[in-house]
Amino acid sequence: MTAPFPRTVALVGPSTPFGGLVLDALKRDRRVRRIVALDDGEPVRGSKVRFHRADLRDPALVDLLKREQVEAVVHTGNRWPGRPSEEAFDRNVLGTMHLLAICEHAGVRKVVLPSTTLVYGPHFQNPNFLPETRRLRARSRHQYLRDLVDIDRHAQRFARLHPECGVTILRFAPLCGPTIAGPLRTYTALRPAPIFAGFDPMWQMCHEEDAVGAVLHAMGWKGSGAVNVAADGASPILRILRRCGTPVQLYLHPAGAFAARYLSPVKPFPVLDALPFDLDYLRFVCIGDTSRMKDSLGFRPRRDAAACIEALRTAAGERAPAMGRKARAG
Amino acid sequence: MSRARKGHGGNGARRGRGKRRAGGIPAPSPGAPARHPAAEGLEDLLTEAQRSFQAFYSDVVAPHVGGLTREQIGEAVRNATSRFVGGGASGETGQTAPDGGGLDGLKTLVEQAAQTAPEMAKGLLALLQGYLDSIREVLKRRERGEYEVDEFGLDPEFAQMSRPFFRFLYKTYWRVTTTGIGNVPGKGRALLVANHAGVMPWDGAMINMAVWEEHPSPRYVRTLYLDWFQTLPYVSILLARTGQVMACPENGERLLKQDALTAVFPEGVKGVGKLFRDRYRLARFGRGGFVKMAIRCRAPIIPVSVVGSEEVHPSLARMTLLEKLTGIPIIPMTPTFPWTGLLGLIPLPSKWYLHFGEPVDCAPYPPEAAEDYLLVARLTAQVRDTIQEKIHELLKERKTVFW
Repeated sequence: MTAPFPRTVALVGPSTPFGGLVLDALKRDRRVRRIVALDDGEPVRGSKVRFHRADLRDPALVDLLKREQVEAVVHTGNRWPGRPSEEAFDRNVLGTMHLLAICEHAGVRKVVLPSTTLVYGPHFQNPNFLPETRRLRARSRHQYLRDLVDIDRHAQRFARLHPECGVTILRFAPLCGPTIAGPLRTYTALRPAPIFAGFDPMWQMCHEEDAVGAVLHAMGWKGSGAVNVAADGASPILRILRRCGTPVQLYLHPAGAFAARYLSPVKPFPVLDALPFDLDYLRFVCIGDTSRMKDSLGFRPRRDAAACIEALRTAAGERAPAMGRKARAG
Repeated sequence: MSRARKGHGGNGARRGRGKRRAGGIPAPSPGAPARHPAAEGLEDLLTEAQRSFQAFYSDVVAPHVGGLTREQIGEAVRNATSRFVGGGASGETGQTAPDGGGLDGLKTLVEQAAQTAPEMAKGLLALLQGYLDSIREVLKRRERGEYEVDEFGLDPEFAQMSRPFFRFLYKTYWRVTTTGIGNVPGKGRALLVANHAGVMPWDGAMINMAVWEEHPSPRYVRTLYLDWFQTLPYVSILLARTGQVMACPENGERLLKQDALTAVFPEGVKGVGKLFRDRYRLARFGRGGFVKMAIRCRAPIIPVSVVGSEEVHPSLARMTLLEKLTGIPIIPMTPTFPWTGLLGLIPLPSKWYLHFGEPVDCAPYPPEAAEDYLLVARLTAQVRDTIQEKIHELLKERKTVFW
């Protein structure tokens, strides 16, 4: 299932942390002759990099991609500021929809979109390992997750309608590593981290370097559609917290959830606002089945769950004093 | 076993000492009332209890009380309890009652008990301390997250720690008699299919224990449980850490493809929700999902018949309104529940029989055959009938519910 590797790659959003990692990897990759970097922020430089300041909602991008003879597009430009905003929705969701349409018109034959396994949503009827065909039912109070579900759904439909674009959605398990502050890293850095008494769901992880490796691997993949990308193995969330040395605070389930749902609009809960995902992810399992990644995409992550936890631990250890200072200042 | 016998020796010596002390007390007059039949039974029971307790004491506690560190005591206790809990139930029945029967014996007994009580208490305290220390050590390590869990959440250490409780249920409480264990493969995939009863999934635990205790190569049984249990705090953790997995085709097939020994209860809620008058009449076996699973994974189906589980919580009626209001799938009215509150959740000590039947081979069918409904229905009926027939046989063998 391999296709010729694209020589000219457009990277949308090299200024984001993940975009930066992908950019470095593309620079190192000898198969890639030219990198067309598209961003609305700081320009990036490099010997084979050509930077264009661009807004994804600009139809002129079609001509640009055609002129540059772009064969593959990697979209890492989604960014969510702290507060929910209409602007972020426009930029991310509508921007991605536009980008897909632009790719279709410009004759791009590979589009890689990063997503997350959290889009499946936690549910007590979830099988322990969710296949890509599963309905996405995350209904989050966090904008980034809602928007990612939106993007993922649209991209899935687009991939079905336009197989020639080779749209590949990589649903990463929560990313671990020194560069990217994924949901799990943010969570393990909380002092204390909230958990529900009596619940200890399994969590899956993915190291950021493996995520970049998967993006590059996907560019040479013939297939299209969604693929779960995660390290081998899984761990109970409490074990991850213990390994990271994160102190935990127990919440009783019905009371805690009730407060979160009905009282949070009235009275802000600092715990809830600090939590980078919804409370139900701390009760039910939401893990992707990686057999499509292994069998069809043919990608095997180099780091397993233990290595990911180790990466989380290092990251938590580095930032622990900083968090303490912040807490004292606040 | 040799240590157990040594234990009895010590026990005898102790009894002798008790007798000497008892010499100071005037013997009961020969004109005492004739032995009451109930007293005889009571005496036997007390002797038995005392004997096993003393064996336990001299075997486990006494050698360790003096001059040993707490860690050493903890170590010894761990070894001894596993042996004792494992072998304590079946033996010790052929013993004869001590001389000097009747109320006389009873008195001696009480005498001895009073005499050894302080020493025993001291020993027990040391025992408890050692035990707590060993637990604390494990907990400390687990506090640092240093334990291993498989991808479904099975934690072998936790499973091992919880095993004595299930072993007690298996050996002592329900006195499970298991037959046909040879039909369970020592390695490789297989699907155990059993009848379901008893409100709470005790039958799953006992099938687990049977394979663990009786099989020449003990292995974990991954029982598939009702998704609703996932919503229960602590229960969900307990199930996952002891190797149970939420029931759905994806999970079942993944387990079988990993060559796990998987168990299902195709009756599901309908099985455990049966009223007492419908006991041992199998409910519908779902839509045959378990057969599809077995065919797709080419796993043999092993029919398992469980007798005894229907009587642990005899359900006289269902509280349907409360079920609807709480979302709990089954709330039965039993002779003890809800009248006695939480005590009503204690299962009754019925006598259990477990039979592992001849495997039904699914290997001859290609994986596509899983979509052949007629084949699936035929195999489902075959498995169901096998289980039902064996249940009738076992019921005929069983003399009473509790013995």
